[in-house]
Amino acid sequence: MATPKRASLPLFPIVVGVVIAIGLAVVVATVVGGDDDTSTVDVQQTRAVSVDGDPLPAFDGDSVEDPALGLTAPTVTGENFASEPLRIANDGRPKAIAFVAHWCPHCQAEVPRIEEWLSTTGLPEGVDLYFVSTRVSAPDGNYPPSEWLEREGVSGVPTIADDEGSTALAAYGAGRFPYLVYLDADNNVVLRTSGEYGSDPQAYTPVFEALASGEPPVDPRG
Amino acid sequence: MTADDSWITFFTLLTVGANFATLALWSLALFAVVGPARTLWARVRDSLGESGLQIAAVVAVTAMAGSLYLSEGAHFTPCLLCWYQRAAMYPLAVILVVALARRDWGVRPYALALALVGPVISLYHYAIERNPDLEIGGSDTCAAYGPPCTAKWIDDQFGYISIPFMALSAFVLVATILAAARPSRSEKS
Repeated sequence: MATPKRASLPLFPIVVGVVIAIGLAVVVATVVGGDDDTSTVDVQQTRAVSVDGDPLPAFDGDSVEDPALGLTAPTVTGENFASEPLRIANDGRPKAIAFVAHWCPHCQAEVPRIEEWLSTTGLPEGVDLYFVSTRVSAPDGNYPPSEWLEREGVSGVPTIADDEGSTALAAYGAGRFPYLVYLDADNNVVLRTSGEYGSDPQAYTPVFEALASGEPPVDPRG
Repeated sequence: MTADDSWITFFTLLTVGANFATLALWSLALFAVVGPARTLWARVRDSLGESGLQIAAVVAVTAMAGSLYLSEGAHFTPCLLCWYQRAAMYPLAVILVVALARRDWGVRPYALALALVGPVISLYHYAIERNPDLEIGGSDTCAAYGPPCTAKWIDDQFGYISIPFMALSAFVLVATILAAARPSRSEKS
């Protein structure tokens, strides 16, 4: 005797119904909720940047055989997030410039370490630190960079907002992020590094102490 | 809520739905082995034999559309692992639609192969997104140009859903449906 055929479950209509219901719910939530995205309206995240001087050669990650060592860094003129003019130039002071991208998880890990180092050890006398917020991309994660840097407590560090074409980054050799360029008092490159310095924020201490004393700093990771 | 937020919410809720459906199917299969749900599981398998190709095709096409929306609509730049997952999901959607049009369950081994390779990539992507140190051959740097696979393009939705998890959910649901379905003789190629 043939087995009677079991009535099948209406799975496909159920799936389609669920998808439509979710779609309708989201449409209603969007219409009722309105557009509450106001976080990026006030602060312009990319700003005009001009570069004066020869760009540095590209950095491939090798701090020892770096062709930029000894070369004079170009002057970068731009603005911070508060629309105040800012210039990284030969002012007779050694300095470090940290190029960071808001979407980069390694920058997201390193910036708090820099903040901890600044708040515990602090910059040596006569040495400056700048941030350059670059490669800004609104759709990507952790946007906007101005809020990110403020949240991490480093909004007090002079920060240039790079332009949409990442002109400042390109002028300094576009190393991988987080990308740090160290310049001596004559504005010559003494060290370039890419990547995190490790979990200990004190890794920055010997580099900046060397910079302050006029000695060539070395990559703290060896 | 912006348009992008709405779409991400939509795909998030679909992902939750896919997770529930997958869990329900696996639970039912497990209970069927033990005994009490054997009849219900048989009915579900028969029903999937009738409409499983439709559902699997809808899931894969929706996942493909979602992926295209995230890159072309929301302008998220796909990373390398995103492209690898696309390399599995897009042909999966196409062959399932063709199989649906032909009522051809002979697609099952080919579709299952794609639907089982995809989750491996998605799982790895999901893992390194959470812990970048797990990246094989990775470094502690991001390329100055081009997105890293370790970056999160959206915050975790409901505490666990990110973009690779959406792909993972779609792959696993399609694979589960294809594996569980018991098409009638007339449905088989």
